[in-house]
Amino acid sequence: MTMLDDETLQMYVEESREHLESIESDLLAIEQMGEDIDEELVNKVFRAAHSMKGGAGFLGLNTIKELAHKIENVLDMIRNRELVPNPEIVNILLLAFDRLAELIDNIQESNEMDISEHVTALMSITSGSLPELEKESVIEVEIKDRQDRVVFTVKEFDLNQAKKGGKFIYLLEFDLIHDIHKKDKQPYEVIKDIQSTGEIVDIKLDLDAVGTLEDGKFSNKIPLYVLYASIIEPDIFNTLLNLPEEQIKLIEIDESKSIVESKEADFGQREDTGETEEVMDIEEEEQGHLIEEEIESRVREQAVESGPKEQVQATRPVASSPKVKPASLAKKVSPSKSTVHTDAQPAASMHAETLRVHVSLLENLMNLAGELVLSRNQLMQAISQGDEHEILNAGQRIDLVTSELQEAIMLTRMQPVGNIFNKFPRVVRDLARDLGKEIELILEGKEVELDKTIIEGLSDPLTHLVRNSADHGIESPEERIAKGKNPTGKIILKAYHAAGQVNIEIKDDGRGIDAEKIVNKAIEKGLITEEQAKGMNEKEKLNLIFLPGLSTAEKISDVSGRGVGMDVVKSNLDKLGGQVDIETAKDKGTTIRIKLPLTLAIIPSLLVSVGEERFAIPQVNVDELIEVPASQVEERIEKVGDADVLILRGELIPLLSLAEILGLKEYKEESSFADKYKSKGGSVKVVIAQAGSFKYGLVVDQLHDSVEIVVKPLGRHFKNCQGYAGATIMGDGKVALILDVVGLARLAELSAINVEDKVEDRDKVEQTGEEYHTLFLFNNAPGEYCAVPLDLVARVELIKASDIEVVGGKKVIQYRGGSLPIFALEEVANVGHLELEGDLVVIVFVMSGHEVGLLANPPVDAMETNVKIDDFALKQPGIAGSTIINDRTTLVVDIFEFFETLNPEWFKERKEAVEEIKKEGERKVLLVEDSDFFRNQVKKFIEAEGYKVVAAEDGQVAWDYLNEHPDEISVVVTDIEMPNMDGFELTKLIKESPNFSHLPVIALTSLAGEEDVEKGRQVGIDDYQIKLDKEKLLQSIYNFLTKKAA
Amino acid sequence: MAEQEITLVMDGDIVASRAQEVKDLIAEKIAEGVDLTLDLSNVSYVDSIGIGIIIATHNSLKSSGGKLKIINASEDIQNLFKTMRLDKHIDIS
Repeated sequence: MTMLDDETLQMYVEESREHLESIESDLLAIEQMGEDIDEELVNKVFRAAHSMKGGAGFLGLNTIKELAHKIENVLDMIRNRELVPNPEIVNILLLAFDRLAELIDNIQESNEMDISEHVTALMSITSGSLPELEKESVIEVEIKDRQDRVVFTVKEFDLNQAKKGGKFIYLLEFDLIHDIHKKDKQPYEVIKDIQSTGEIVDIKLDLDAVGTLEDGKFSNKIPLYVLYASIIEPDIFNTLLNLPEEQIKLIEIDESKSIVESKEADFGQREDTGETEEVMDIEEEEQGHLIEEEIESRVREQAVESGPKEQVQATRPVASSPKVKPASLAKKVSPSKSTVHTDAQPAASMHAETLRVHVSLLENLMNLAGELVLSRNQLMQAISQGDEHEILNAGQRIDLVTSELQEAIMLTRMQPVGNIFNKFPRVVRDLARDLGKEIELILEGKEVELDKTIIEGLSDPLTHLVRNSADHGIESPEERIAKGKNPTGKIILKAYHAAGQVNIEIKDDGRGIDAEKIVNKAIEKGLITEEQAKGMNEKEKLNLIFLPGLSTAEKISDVSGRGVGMDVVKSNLDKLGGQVDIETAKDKGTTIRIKLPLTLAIIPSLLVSVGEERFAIPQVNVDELIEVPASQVEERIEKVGDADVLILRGELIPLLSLAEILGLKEYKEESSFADKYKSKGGSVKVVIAQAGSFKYGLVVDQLHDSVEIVVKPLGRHFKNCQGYAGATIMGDGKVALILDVVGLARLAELSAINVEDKVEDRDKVEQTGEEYHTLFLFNNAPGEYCAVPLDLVARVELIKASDIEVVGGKKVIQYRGGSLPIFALEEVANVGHLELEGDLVVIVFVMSGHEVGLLANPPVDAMETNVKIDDFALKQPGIAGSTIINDRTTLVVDIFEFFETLNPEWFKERKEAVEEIKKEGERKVLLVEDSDFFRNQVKKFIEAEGYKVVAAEDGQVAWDYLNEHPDEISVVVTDIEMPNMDGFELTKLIKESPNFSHLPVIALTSLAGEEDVEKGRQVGIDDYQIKLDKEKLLQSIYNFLTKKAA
Repeated sequence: MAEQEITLVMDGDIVASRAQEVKDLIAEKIAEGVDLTLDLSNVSYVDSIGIGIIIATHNSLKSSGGKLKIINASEDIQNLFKTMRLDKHIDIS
């Protein structure tokens, strides 16, 4: 009969999925053991197929039933050692189980789905020895009731089948009169009920007990016997059916011999005499014993003590001889061991683990809830009494209990990572077969637990990574042998706890990732420039793998490197708050390490505030916190192109003002662009946020504590609000929004590509020579548009006209504790008059070591342009020419000429000297700098000075170059902080070498602490220059060159 | 072979409230060697007591060498009888 009601069906589907879950790994294990089968394991798979079959039959899912049945047959043969599970057979089984899983997934359509292919394959395996199966099924077992009457005779095979899947077999005695009619139930409903929780193996009405129409016995009892298989456990079974316990009997079948034997020791006597009810008639010893056991022995023990015999008798539908009863009762009470055994046995075959965990957890939760109630009472009392001390005490207790409660509840969400690990043996096995490789997969730490949501999100990225390892990492057996490795490759998938996080490692002993290949591919795809690539260290190169767009659509056979969907892997893991790290060594293998938080529901977060608003930033996204003191703001915050950047240890980090992105503050024209970042004290507080593959600085007003917050999802109305990941409720009851650092970057139109683009554009300027200029645009007189090359601009200051002082006929302003001479363009060039009123701009240049200012009118702007400069039409002193920008004729100021005209003596000396030096021969400067950006900048302006520049990206490269080209270099300019070999080491090498000790070394650095200076002096650094004070640097180079020449 | 075949058309459900009435009705018809056919076309429901009556009828007939046959039973009733494996003893259609 079919009962396709949703709930039952759903239950079946869930149960089946559970069964299917572990089958793959079990089958693979069976395959590995080959002839030497592990019966337990085969039985487990068999049971799974069987209970799916049983349920399917019951629900009328005939296709599933048929397929499961065929699978079961094959497994049975394996179990009986009639069949050796070779890879072919296991393959057919795997495929059949796959199909079964598909059927389960499409349960409604399952009956129409085609399984013929699998059935044929399975049949071809079994066809050899079917008769034996039938022989087995002929064996019959008698099921007796407690009065030793044979109620049912069933095939042992059927009974065994029914019991598979951890089911219990019960013999139920219903009395249609007492148990159904008198309880106002209908027989049909009762049967429906019991069918929904188990399977009816056989059913029988005791017709003889009813009597005839004539005799008076009629309508006293109508006994209905049901042989019933259900996963419901004995101790709660009678409550479910609402049947007196005497009418339920647990039928126990022991399959394992050892248990039977131990039972025989207990019941041996009874079995011999045959008078016991515990032991059923068994027709064939080898087929296993059927031992029936009454579940209610314990209960009856009580019953005997209190002696409610009448009641027992009254509810007993089958007339029984009173003589037998006391005897049998007495018997059953005595062997208390058997009771214990009954309890233990089913527990082992059930999925008892989950149940046991849950119960203890529940108990723990109950305890904690109790604690909480107690604490609340304490608190209430303290409040009503106004006892402050007690309130504090209670508060502390509640704090304690709550965190424990939280932990306990989190545990209920935890799942072992094995749930996803278990599918990989199959994945790897199939891949290895396809690729013709030999791969061994080792799983470690399957029991490590993670939050449900993380486990779910982890599946895809892990599959990607494992596939990649098998596909690209592990070499073919021939290749491995040639390399002297074990032909069988190894992939280790490992999970472990570390520092409050869960680490997952995918480790292979394959060929490793070739960073250069990735770099080449990235360059080929136009994702990075060659210049950029040169500046990258090994780690950065490896991380290119995660760049979107690097993944190839080419077939996986294209073994040019990994990168199949690695960007997807990265973004998926980002979503889970995970971090990825790659380690690789050529021909040794690759390790990919993923760090994951234990849960997503509660996360440690940093609290920050802007104005009155508080925000939480997940701690995993916070790289570091920087407070730039008011006095250093000018030096540390710069404008590059149209982006504000923070200079942090030589790195440029784009800055975002949280208030600005979120529109919390209106920014007026302030005297300096850096001012908008300043918080109350004048310092700038920056959270360096890690947004996937790049970092940026988020400027906030205040930094607060790090706290654990409970994440509340935002309602769907806020779905389109980028920049927020959720909300949380703070201790004071106020809501704080959780910032999504990636979303914020997107809001600000900031991205790794964006930053890189800028650098790239700069490179372009260089490559195409004169055509490209980055111009700083300003106004002179109203309507008179001017521009200077941005590279030459040191700083831009917003001033008021009233700030200008005229001293000795020259204009100066107070600037950084000194006086800055300022000039107007009209002093040299024939241009319009600039009125000294209102807000003005001073463009600061550094000329030959002097800071000078050029007066201008706002607005100012910077833009990159490839316009051509007309050096004829408007050429005049101080003006290089003109160009058209934004449809306006713009004068391009020749700033050198301008200041030279004003102060010829500043330039004369060095310019002439450089010319002098040049006459003696070309001078080469070796420039060592790991940052692309700085290297390009510095190289450019040293070259502009008239020297040749050889660039090197780290000390090692520089040292190699020196050795290859002795006598070529005249001066070394080096960065300090560099990978591989830093500036100190390089200097030391140079100074200790007899060939090069004469070379002057200028250190170019943002590090200029006293210790560094001292250390530099010790290794022999000749001069220190702060990064990007170009005039000073040029002067220093000049000084060393002339010294040497002299 | 039975000597006599009687068909009894049951009017109304075979339930506890009508038990005595139905019992009497059937008992009247039962005699030595009679094959009884119960026509259940007008019966929509049979409860526990009803099942008891039918079993008792079966038993009575059996002891007197007759047979019980049920015809025109609704699908529900047929299902119920089949589930209880009553169809092994009573010819039901």
